[in-house]
Amino acid sequence: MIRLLVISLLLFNCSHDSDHENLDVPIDKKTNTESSEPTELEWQSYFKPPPSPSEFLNLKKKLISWPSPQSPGEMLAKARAQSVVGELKAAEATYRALLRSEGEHLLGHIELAQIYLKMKDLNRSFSYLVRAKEIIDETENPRTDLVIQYKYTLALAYIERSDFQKANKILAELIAIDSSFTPGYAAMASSYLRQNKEKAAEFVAKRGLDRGQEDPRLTNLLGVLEKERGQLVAARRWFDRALNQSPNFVPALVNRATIALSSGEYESTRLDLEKAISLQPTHVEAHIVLGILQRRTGEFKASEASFNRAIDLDPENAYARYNLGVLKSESLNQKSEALRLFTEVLQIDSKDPTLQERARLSIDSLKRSHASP
Amino acid sequence: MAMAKVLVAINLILFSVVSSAKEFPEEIPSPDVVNAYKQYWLGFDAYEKKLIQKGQQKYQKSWLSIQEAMRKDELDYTKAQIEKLRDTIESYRSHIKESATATNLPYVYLNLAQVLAKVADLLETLGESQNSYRQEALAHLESLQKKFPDFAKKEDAQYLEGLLLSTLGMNQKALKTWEELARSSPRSLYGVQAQIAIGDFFFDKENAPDALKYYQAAEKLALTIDSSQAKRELLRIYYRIVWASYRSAKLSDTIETGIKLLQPGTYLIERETQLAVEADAVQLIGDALFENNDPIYTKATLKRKVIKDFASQVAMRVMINFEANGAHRNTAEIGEYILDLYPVSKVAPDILNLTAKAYELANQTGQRIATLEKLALFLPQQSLWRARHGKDFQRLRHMENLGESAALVVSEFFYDLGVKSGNSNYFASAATYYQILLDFKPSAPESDDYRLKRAHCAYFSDELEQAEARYRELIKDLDPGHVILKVASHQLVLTREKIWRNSYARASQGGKSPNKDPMVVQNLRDLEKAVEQFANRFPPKIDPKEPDLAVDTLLVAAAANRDQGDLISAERYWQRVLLANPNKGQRSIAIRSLVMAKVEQNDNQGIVAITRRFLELENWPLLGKPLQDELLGVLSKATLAYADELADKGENQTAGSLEVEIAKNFPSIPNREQIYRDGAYHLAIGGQWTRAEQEAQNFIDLGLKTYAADMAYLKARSAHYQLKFPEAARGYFTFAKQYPAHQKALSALERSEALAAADNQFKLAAEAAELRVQLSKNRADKLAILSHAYEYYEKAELPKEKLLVAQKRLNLAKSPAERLPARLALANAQNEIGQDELALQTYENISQQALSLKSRLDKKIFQDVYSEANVHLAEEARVALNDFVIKERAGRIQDRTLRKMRYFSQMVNFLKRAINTGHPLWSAKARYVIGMEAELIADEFEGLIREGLVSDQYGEELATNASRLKNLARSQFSANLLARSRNPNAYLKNVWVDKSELQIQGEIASRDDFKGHDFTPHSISLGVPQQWSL
Repeated sequence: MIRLLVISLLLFNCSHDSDHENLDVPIDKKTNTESSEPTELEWQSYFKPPPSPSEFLNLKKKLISWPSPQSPGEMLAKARAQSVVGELKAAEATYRALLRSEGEHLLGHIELAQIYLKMKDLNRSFSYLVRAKEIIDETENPRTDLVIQYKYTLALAYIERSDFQKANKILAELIAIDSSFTPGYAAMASSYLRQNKEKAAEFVAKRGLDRGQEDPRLTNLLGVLEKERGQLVAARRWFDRALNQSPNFVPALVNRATIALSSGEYESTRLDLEKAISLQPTHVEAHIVLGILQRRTGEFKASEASFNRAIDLDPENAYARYNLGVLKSESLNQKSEALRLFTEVLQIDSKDPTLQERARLSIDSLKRSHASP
Repeated sequence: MAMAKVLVAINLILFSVVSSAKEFPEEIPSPDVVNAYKQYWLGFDAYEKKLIQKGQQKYQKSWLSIQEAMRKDELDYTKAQIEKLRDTIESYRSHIKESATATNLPYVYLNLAQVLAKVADLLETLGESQNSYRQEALAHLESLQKKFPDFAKKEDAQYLEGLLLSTLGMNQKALKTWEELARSSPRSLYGVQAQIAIGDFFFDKENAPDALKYYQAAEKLALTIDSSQAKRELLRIYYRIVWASYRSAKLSDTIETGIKLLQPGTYLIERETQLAVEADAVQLIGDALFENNDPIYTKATLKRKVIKDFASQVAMRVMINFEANGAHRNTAEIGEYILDLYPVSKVAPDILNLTAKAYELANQTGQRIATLEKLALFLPQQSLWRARHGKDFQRLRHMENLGESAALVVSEFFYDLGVKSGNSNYFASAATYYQILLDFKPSAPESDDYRLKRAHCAYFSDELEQAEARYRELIKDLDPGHVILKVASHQLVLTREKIWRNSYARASQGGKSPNKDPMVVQNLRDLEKAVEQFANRFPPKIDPKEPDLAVDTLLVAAAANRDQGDLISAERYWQRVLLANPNKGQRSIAIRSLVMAKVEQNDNQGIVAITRRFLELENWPLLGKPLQDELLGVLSKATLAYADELADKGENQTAGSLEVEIAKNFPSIPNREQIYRDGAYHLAIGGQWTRAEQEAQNFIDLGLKTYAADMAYLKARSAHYQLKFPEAARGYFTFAKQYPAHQKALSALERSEALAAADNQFKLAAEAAELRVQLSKNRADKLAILSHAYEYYEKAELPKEKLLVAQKRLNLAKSPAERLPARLALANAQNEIGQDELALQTYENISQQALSLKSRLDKKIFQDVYSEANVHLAEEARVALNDFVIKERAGRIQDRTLRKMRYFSQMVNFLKRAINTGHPLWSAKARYVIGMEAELIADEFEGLIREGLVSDQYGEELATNASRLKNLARSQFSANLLARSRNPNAYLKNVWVDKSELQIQGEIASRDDFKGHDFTPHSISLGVPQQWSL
């Protein structure tokens, strides 16, 4: 019986993989809006800022003694809390429980797809998006806010799958409906950044700032672009701006830490990273940068642990493996281990050509040193 | 008096219950009471009428019974008379039989004959046979003449015989009798009568001349006899002379004798006979004058004082004759003449009527009307004609008939003339005659019609107060019937409209504001009141065949309010017109006025709303294209103006939606393209970029030409704004290619190029750049853009296109600073497509030229050109170096190693030139290549030593050289790292420095300041939504 279920699920996944091309849904008169042309998406309600450290701890405590949820609303609330504190597996289980009790719960499907995006499990994410689309198609007048959430999540999934054109099309549509939809700009800018189209990314991010409210996602992105250009002072200004806006915004904390790290400001680097990890223990980049900091300060074991934690969280992360390779080759004298890690970097579909080139040179260097007496 | 007041009050109270307030204007405080009073009097009238009718019938019956009784009495009397006369006849007969010798016998015979003749006459009145009596009488007279030839009363007997013979139709015998009598009685009255009888005999035989002779003989004889009887006979003679002379065409005799007949008081005869004789005389004089056909004579005769009293009648007889013969002018001439002499004669009305008729038939309208006017003026109660002849009831009635007809004709004539000409004098004349008619018959069925026209005359003569009073009188005080009531009510509206308009004009001319002048305002309120009353009393009909007056009045009120400046009230009336089933014309006026009201208020929003509604909802095939076009024109202008207003207030989205809808819903609207274009742009400015893009596309799909370029640009701009970069880049390019003369073409290409490049669509970016070159006017710009195009083609991996662009750039370049980079680009392109030799030669030339022109060149240009050219030249030398493997070559080992080093030296020479420029990229690469090649050669030397391919002595030399080469390599790698540490930004992401760093990794890792080769990632939010709550 279990085998049959597994096979069915596999077939389900396979059959829906082929449907990724047609996953978008139109926002038209069919959707349940007062006006045929919505001018605001009211997205702020489902883009809540991250919790503060104290809120984070309270959430964690609350989750420990959270009573077994009965209603779909209670289950949804618990799953969201689990997601925000990084307990993605637990959140996944709660969402699944919700969908078992209420198979047509559209928001449950969408949010579970988001959980899988966080877990880098694209196949499962798309599976739930496919089901969400079916529910939307079957509903006579689906709620506009849910359709928009669905479309946005689909765009994120497309970006993760490097299907940038489809993602940008959806995001442009959402931005056209509500020009202040900052997450749309941020997602689109990150999509261009991933394609190394820095100018396009900058244009989109700045346009987002012009049209919408100040948003740490956008200012952080602009900081990253400046950092890529070597404009570290300018980059730091953007990250500071992002953190002024949202002091608990983990990506900006991590990026500001990298700037401080490059200038040798190890203490401030550590403070930002510790705060970042306390807010988001599953943040991979925070662990990687912390590992680099620890290597530079001679804390090799701690550094190794940080890199391993990052690899555990995201096995596909090339930076974690590369930096662990550097630690092993240059600090721990574990050349063979390092050679393996650099080789694995080349095997990961990384979007950073410089990292790839570094890995390649490191391999050459290691091989030469091996060859030399 | 007091009792009357009490009665009226009681009546008012009693009848107030059944009244209807609707028939009375608002100013009557208690219309119910008045209505009750009216009902009372109507009932009273009916009662009286019934009584009169009953009395008349009773009188008629009595009169008939009296006449019947009288006829019976007369009959009885005649019968009694006949019986008595028959008794007399019997006694006379007996007397003749019994007393044949008596002396009185001749008298008995004569008396018997006379009685028999009398009985015959009486029997004739009874309708019984009588000739036997007359025959018997003749027989007795014959016996008399035979038996008593010298009878004293012989003339009497002859006279009776003549009469009986004539009566029995025995004319020849009678003639003989009369001739004998004439002969026997030359000086007596019987002679006169005999002459007359003979004349009558000839007259009956149509022998008027002979008859005239006997008549004239009789006249002569009668004049000699001095007796009243003779004088009476003269009258008979004159009468016969008149006739006989007329028949004999002796017209002067007729006239002269006729005049004698008309002399007053000559003969004592019965009045009726006298009148008949006078009538005949008048007739014959008139006929004679007509036959005579001498106007001068006729006029002279008519002017004679002897016929003063009959001149008009004679003239009329003459006129009748003329008229019967179609001589209208003669009729009129005589009419005018006699009227001039006797303007108020008894027959003046007939003469005037005849004259008018003659003028009518002669088509002399003016004279006809003038004549009828005179006739109409007999009608008033105080007219002179009435004073003189009013007692002749028949004449009076006749005159009144003629006068009324004349007054009607004249009034209608002047009224029509007034209507046609607008001349108030005609209306004044018409008013006079309508008033005469009204005074004459105030209560006739047609009187209200006269009253209405009388009021119209006042209206058209601008006697507006009077007109208003008259119309109000008709509406309130009288009961004129529906049609007249409706017209009067409508005219009251028009009158009040005129009163208001006049007061408005007066106020304006007097420098006052009409809107504040209480008189003007009151007049407008009065007008509105009249309109309301009319519209309420005569509500508009559904589907009227003719223009509905109710609608007309509403239009009048609307127009007045509009002119008064009260457009809101005016609009209310026009709206009511639209709801009142107006006809086409009225509807058009209302629609146009409503629109124009909005135009006058400068209310563009209102104009747009109202014209849209009309254009969408009205039946335009019925109302017509001209009005539709007019409204479309207004809508077009108002839409643009209103959209501008909205845009000024920042409501661009509303403005855009409006314009786009108008342009789409009204394809034939003027300036459609402009409205559509502005709408789409307003949508875009209002942030509705998706809709702007859709509308731009729709505009293009519709095939609209004007502003198509603007819309193509907007389409691209919208896509750009929506961050749809591929569509935007393509859109800008398509627009600029299609409309290169458009002012935005150049900037569009710039955007297309930038977007395409940012989106890695390098081919499109290059095409946009090339098109931009065509449109640019500045040569420096063109060169810069061509260099961009070159880079895009390079990134698009299109070497042939790159070569062409490079060639274009070179062709355009003039100065060395322009030509050297252009030549370098061309050489690179040549190199890429396999034209190595050509490229090398070019690199060499560039290198030499740049060096020779170094002092004149910009430092950066020199750096760029000179360093790159030499690196490329070094690459060629490097190929030769790498191709030369020492152990694979023949010859002495020393020579081979020397040759290898020579190749190395050649390469290094080129690379040192690049290093010397300090160019971050090319110098770093040059150092790295030197380092790498030095290490390789060192490795090769060490390999030769290891493999024992060289002698020990030469091996030591090679080992030393290998060591030097490695030192050289390390120094080059270190130099790269040193350069980066001095200027990190210039060497950021410089792969040659990175590579150099890795080459000397072991050495630097041991240094204290070594930070390692770690690589920090950046962190970007995944962007997954999060919702949490504590």
